[in-house]
Amino acid sequence: MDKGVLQLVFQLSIRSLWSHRVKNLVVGSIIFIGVFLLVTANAMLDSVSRGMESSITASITGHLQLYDKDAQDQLSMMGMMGNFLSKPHIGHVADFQTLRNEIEKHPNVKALIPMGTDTTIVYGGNRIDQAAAEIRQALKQLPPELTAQEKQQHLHAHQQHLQDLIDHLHREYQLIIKFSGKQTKTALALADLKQARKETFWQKLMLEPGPNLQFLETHIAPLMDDENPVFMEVIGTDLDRFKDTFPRFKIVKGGMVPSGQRGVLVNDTQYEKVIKDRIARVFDRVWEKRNEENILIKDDKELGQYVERRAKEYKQWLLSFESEARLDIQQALQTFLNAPEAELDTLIPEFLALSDENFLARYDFFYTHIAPKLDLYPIDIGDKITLRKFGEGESQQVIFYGTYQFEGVEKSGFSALFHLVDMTTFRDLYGFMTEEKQIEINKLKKEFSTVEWARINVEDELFSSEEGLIAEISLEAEKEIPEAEITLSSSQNLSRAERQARRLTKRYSQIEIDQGAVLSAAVVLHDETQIKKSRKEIEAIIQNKSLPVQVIDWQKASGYVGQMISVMKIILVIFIVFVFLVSMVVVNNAMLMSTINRYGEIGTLRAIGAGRSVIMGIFLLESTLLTLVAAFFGAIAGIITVKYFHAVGIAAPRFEFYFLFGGPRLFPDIDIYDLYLGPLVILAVSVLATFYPALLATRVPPIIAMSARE
Amino acid sequence: MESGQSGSEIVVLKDVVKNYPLGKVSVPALRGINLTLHRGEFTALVGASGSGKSTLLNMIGCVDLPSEGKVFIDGVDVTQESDKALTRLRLHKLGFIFQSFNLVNVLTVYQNVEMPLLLQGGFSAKERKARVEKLLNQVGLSSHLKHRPNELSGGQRQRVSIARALVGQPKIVLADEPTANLDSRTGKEIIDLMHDINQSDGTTFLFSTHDQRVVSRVDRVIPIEDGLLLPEEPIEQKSSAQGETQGVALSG
Repeated sequence: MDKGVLQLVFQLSIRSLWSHRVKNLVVGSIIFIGVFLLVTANAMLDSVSRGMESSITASITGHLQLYDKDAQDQLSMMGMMGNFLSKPHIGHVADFQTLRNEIEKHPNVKALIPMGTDTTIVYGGNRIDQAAAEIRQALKQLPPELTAQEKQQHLHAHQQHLQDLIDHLHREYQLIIKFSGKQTKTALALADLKQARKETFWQKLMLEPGPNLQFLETHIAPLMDDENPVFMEVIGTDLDRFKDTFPRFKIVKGGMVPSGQRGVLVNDTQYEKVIKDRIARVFDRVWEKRNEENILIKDDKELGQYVERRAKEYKQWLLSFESEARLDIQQALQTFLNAPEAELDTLIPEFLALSDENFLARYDFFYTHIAPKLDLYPIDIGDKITLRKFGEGESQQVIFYGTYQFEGVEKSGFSALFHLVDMTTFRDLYGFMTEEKQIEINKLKKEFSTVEWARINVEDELFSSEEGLIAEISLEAEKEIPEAEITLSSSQNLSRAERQARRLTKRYSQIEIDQGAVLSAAVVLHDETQIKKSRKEIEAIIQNKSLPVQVIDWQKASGYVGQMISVMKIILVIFIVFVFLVSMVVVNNAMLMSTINRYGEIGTLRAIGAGRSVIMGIFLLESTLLTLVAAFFGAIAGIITVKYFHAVGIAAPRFEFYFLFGGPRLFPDIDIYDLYLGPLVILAVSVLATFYPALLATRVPPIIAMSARE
Repeated sequence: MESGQSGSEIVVLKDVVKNYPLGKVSVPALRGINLTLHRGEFTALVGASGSGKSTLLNMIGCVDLPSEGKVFIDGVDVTQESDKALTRLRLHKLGFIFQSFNLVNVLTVYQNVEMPLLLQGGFSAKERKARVEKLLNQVGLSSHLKHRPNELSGGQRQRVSIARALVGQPKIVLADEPTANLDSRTGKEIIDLMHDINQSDGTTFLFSTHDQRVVSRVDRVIPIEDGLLLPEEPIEQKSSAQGETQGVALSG
């Protein structure tokens, strides 16, 4: 276009923009709002995405995950929850060591951490068994010369506890017989229970505990259901390197698993919300709602129902009281509830009838008088727990050293997904053959079958070669398992139980941890902005070295959690389309009106010799200028808003948002990309929306000028 | 390109017929017009409402094309030209003065007049300024350069319109009822102004009117009725002037 023509186009555009300023102000405002919303929403979403990225990459997945290239399904570490019945086939990587050596050569790789996820079950144990074990232990402490009566006095609490449990079972079996008739099995059970309720049974037990305790364990204990099993989703990993690599990891209670040793770290959120005493959790939940979310029982129907439902379970709860505790709690409750004669059976339900008015006093009372008498957590730090692979028999005993949490995202559901277990235990659970396991198997063969001497020698050599790896036994472990006090020289004569115990505290070398199979490996980068570039380079390394793995980014690796970002992106796209449509309609309408209003003017311009391109130019320039100005101010307003929130932060409205926000507050920030997306979209929209009216305008015939009226 | 017979012919119409469709029937507006306009002529097209004079002007102004026949502007058969070529032709060879002035209200007086120069292109700012100011001076509006059209009286607006029609130095200026929206005194002033310009610069004018009073000022009156031209009556007192203006136009 000629310079003069351009000048005219500009003149006309600017002039007519100005002369229709009220209309253009309205159109401009809509564009302004559209851009403002797009810029802020995009910046917020990007920040949430970054928050989430930080939540996930800094706690579990790392930036990339490597897994079996022949896997039939996609690795999705967090997608497994609730889906553990149909585990995806993700294969495994047999040789982690080589993988680590090669991948960690890349300068941007901070670490390659071995991983694997699996579902395990931890059984809570049998109350009769536990009580029997307690009384056995207590009996050992007493001088043997005491009489049965004297012993009974000393161990009154223990005996009472067992008797309560037996009484409970007795009542239950009486009911069973009452309702379903006397069947052989129930009749026998009832007979056993009657036997155990006899006073002579207890006197005999005190003097000679062996047979009667055995009777309790073999005849009575099976009548009692085990405590509710806890499903534990575990990540098997190199705990030491995990701790050093993932910045959000922190120990909450207890301590870290001693370096190189077997052990489990229980997720603190699950420890508090799943494992802790059921009734204590009622108090915790109401307290949390009340103090952190400002929600009272009466405000939250669900919470109210939860409190009521749990209160009804008091009978079960009563059984977990130790006998001595029962009396104390009863007395305390009698005073507290002002019901001097009442039994626990009536006191407890009354106490658990929580309301917003009585809650604080009862919460206080619960934690000062009841909780100390309770076994608040069925598994305590320092306990040996048995992880059983879900669906299969494989089980491993490990020491529970402490609880951990991912900092900043403690309260989000995502952080409560996993427990951590050492790599060696994980491999055992998962069924990978380790060198140690091979030796164990050979040992068993040696014990239970006739083997040639030559083979034994080989095994001895194998076994003794391992001895060098055995290191100090931690004090914590010592407390738990005195059997572990073993000497290296006696190692060859260890019983199976002893070997098991020794394994618990064995210190594995880095080589042992690295050698062996993993399900996947997390790549943690130094510079996370280089994910894409590093990914390509890592893929090149894999290609070059023919490593049997494939790469997946954290977003995919995290499964449905990572897909939330995609969902939000889709929502943003829908939002953009919406803004797009609104702007389109508005601009289109405005420009159509403009065409109609300026029919005469266009005709005149055409008559005096303006070409169609000039008319088109005027219209396009008008909407472009209008859009640019409105978009500019919209973007500025967006920047100011986002920067404001960047300074003050946006508080997470609920705990669920911690994960999205990467912590309790979101500090959104804006980047160039956020800035040009909104304005560009709007600009494209206005040009598109103007195009048709402008085309119509170019079609205005010059003859219109002849009959035009001003 | 087919040329007219002589170099002085600026507009030649041959058997021009124009039918307008009206529902299913087509209504004839022009029913076979043959007309030649010469350089420097100051001509009035006179006829009643609906006589076809506006349609005829549209044909000559290249804003509409005939149903039949040919229209030559400066030797070019416009019926064969594209929209683009016609636009260029209007820009460079024709000037328009409209009944309703048709000024662009969002632009100043100066910008309105400058418009054709910008569209033609190739003028420096200085040249444009000189031309626009000279013309506005000529039409007596040199003190109103920065005014908006809606701040002016009808007569003043039509003067701006005249200046705009002339600024591109067209071969012929077409004016469709230029005085219809003006009171008779102003109307007369406008005709006088156009006449003066015709006299001084030799610009060819063709304007339509139904006002018999203005006819006294013109070189030639073309009567039109029902889409047909009536025989012209010669106007003696102007015959001498015609030769003069033609000379000026040729020399200019």
